[in-house]
Amino acid sequence: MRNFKKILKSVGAFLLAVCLLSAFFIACYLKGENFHYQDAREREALAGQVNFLSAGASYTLFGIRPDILDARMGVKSYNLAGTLLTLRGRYVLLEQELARNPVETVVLEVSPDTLLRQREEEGPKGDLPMLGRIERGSVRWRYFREAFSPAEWPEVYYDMTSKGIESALRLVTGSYRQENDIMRAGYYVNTKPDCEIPAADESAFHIQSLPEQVVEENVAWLEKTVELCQSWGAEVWLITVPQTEYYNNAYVNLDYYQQWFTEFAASHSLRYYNFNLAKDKLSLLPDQGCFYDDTHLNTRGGEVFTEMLAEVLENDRNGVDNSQRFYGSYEELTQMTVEWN
Amino acid sequence: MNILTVSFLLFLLGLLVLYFLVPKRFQWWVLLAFSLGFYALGGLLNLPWILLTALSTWAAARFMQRSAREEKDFLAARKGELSKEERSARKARGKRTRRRAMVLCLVLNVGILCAFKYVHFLLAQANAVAGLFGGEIRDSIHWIVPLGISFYTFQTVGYLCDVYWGKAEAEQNPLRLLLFTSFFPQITQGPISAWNQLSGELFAPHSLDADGFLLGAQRMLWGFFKKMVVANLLAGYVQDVFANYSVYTGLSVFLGALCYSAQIYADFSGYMDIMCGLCQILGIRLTENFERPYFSKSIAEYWRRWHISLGVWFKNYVYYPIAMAKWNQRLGKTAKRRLGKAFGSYLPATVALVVTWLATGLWHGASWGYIAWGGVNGLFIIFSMWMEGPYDRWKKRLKIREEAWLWRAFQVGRTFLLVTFIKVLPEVGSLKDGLGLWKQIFTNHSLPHSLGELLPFVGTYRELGAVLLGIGLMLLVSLLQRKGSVRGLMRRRLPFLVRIGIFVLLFFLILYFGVPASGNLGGFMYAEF
Repeated sequence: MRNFKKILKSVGAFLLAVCLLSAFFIACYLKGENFHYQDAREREALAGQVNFLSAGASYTLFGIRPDILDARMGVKSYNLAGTLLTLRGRYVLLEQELARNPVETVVLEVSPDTLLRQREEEGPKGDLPMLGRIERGSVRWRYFREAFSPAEWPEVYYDMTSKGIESALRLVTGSYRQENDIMRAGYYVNTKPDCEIPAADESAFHIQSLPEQVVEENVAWLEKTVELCQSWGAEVWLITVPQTEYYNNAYVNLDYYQQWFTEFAASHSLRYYNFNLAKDKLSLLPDQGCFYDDTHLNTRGGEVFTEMLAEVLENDRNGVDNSQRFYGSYEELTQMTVEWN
Repeated sequence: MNILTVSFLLFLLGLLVLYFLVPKRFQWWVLLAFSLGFYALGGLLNLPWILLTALSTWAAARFMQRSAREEKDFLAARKGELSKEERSARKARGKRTRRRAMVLCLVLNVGILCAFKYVHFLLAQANAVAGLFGGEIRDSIHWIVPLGISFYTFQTVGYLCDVYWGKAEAEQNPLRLLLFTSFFPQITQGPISAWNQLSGELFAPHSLDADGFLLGAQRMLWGFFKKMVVANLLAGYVQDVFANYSVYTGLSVFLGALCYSAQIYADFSGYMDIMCGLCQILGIRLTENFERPYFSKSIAEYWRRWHISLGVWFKNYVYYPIAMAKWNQRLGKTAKRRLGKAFGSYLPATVALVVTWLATGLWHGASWGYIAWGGVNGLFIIFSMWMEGPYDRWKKRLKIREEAWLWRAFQVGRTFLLVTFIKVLPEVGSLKDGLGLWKQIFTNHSLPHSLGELLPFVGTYRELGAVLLGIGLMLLVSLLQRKGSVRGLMRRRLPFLVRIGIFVLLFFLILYFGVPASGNLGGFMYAEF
C-alpha cells in the first residue's frame, strides 16, 4: 500500500503539473495572437458589416481576394476558407457569420475533392484549426465533441498545446499582440516561391482518373450548407476555382463531377460556374506565372481570378448571360484547346 | 508497433496492469502473451520464423543435454567394465552427436538469418561477377525481413552454445525459451542477453516497487527525450549533410559527422533507456548496453562501452572459440618458432580479431561499406595490440603520465574523432560515398563566411537550440554518472517539486520539438540491423 501511495504521489504531482501547464498553454493559444485567432478577431470586428461570404478549402483560401471583390462589386466580403477545411467546418463558420451579418451572397467552392474526401482517412488536420477559429466556448466544445473521435484527442492536445507554447513564447518576447500580415479578410497571402509545374503535354494527357463515387456524408453536408444559406435569404453560387492546365489535362473523367455539380445546382436552384472551363482561362491564367502548384493559384493568379469571378457575378446580377463565356464540359474544352486530341 | 506512439503507451499500460494483477507464477505468461502480440503487430508473417528458431533451439538444447546425461549415466553404470579407450571412444561419439545437433540447429537458424539479410548482397556480387562475362542475374526476391531477426538469432545461438559447453541447463519448457527469444523490450534493438542472466529475471516473481516504478518511468522519459528531441532533430541535419556533402565545405561536413555521432548515440541509448526503464518498472533487470562510450580512451575500450552486449556476444561465441581453437594455437606456435616470440604470441588473437570484426561489420549491414567499417575497427584494435609495447616505451621516454588529465583528454578526443570518422563510412550511402565524405572533410578548406554557411543543414535556430540543450544535458548526465546513479543523486540533492519540474520540462520539450521531428524520422536506427 505504501508503494502505491508513493507512486500515486509522484505520478499525481507530475500529471497535475502537466495539466496545469497544458491548460495555461491552451489558454494562450485560444486567447493569443495566433493565425487562427486573428481570423476570429477580424470577423468579430466586422460583425454586422459583411454582406458577401466565400467558403471553401485551400483553393479558395489562395484564390478569392476580398479586397478586389469589395472594390469591384461594392460589397463587404470575407473569405472563410481554410486549408483542408471540412464541410462541417464550413457549415459552422457560415452558421456563425450568417447569424451576425446581413449576408446577401454566399460563394461556395466545390471540386471533386469536396465530394471525395473521407474524414477517417484524412484525419483531423482540416478540423484542428476550427478550434482556434471558433470564439464561443460552447460552440468550440460542441465542435470538439462532434468532429473528433477519441483516437484523435492526443493529436488535438498536441496541436493546441504546441501552438499554445508558441503563443506563450510570444508573450515572453513581447510580440504577443503583433498582427500577422499574411491574412487579409481571410485571404492567405502566399509568399512562398512558385513550384515547378510540369508541362501540360501529350505525355501527361489523360493519365489518371478520379474515383466516381461520392461520399454521401459530404453530399449531406453540402445540402445542409446550401439550405442554411438559403434559410438566411442569401443567394448561393457554386464555383470551382481554376487549376492548372496540366492538372485538368491529366484527369480523364473530370466531366463526371462537372455533371454532378451542374445537376446539384439545378436541383437546388443555384448557379454553378466552373472556372476551369472559362474560355479565357488559358490566356488569363497560364500555368507558369499564375499558379503556386498544380492546383493552387498564387498571388497574381488570385488577383486575376477574383476579377473574373467579380465580372461573372456582376453579369449574373445584371441579367447578363454568362453561358457563352464557358465551355459546357471538359470534353469540349479539350476539343477546342488540346492540339493532339 | 512503433514505440513512439500513443498506441504503444496504451499497450504498456495494459501490460503493467495485468502483470501486477495476476498471480506471480503467471507473470511470465503475461510477458509471453504481450511479447508475441507485439511481434505479431509487426506482421503475422514474422511469427513462423521466430517460432521456428525458438523451438528448434529448444529441441536441440534438450537433445544435447539428454545425450550428455545419458552418456554420464552410461559411463557411471559401467565404471569398472569399460577400458579407458572404450570410455574415450564413447565420450567422443557422444560429443560428435551433440556437436552435430548443435551445428544442424546453428546452420538452420543462422542460415535463415543469412538468407533474409544477405541474399540481396550476395546476388549483387554474383551479378557483378556475371557482368564480367556478359551475363546478368536479376534480383526479384521481395522477402520481408522478420523483425529483430539479427538480435533473437544471436540470442538463441548464445543459449545453444552455453548448453553445449555445459555453462547453462537446457530449459524444459519450450514456452519459457520462446519468451527468452521473443521478449519484446529487446527484440528490435537488443541487448543480446545470456540465458543465465535473463532467465533469472524473467521467471522470478516481481512485486510492484515504488522506487523501481518511479526510477523506471523517469528513465523512460529521459529515453524518449534523447530519441525524439535530440536524435530525430539531428537526423534531419545528418540526412542533409550525407546527401549534399560534395557541395558543403569541409568544416560543415565535419560538423555533420559530429552530429551523426551524437544522433546515433542518442537514438540507440535512448531506446535502451526506454526499454530498460520499462523493465525496471516490471522489476526486470536488463543488461546495460552503454557505459559513456564517448569517454573511451581507445577504440578497444570504446567497444567495451558501446553496444556492450553485442561485443560480449562476439567475444564469447566468435573471438574466444577461434582464438582458443587448436588449429589457431598450432599456428601461433609455428609462427613463434619461425618469426619470433612477439609475432607468435599475437598471431592467434589477430586471426580471431580479423574474423570477429569482419563478422561484426557484416552483422551491422550487408554491404562493402559495413564490411570495411568492421575491418577498419578491427585494424585499429589489432594495431593497438601490436603497438602496446612500443607505446609503453614511448610514453616512458616522453614522461607521459597516464593519469594526467591532459593526456586523458587527448586520448578521449582522439578516440571520439576516430570513432566518428569510422562510423560515417557505411552510413553515407556506398563505400565510395563514405570515402568521398572523408575526402571532402580533409581537402575542402573553404571557410564559411556566416553561421548559415557553416550550418547550411540547420532549419530553425530554435531547433538548433533544442539540440544543443539536449546534447548539453546528455553530457552533464554522462559526467554525473561517473559518481553513480543520476536519478539517485537528484533524489538526494533536489527537492521533490524541482525534480517534478525537471521531468515536466522534459515532457513539454518532447511535445514541442520531439513530436514534429518524429514525423518521418520516427524509426530507430539499430532496428534496421
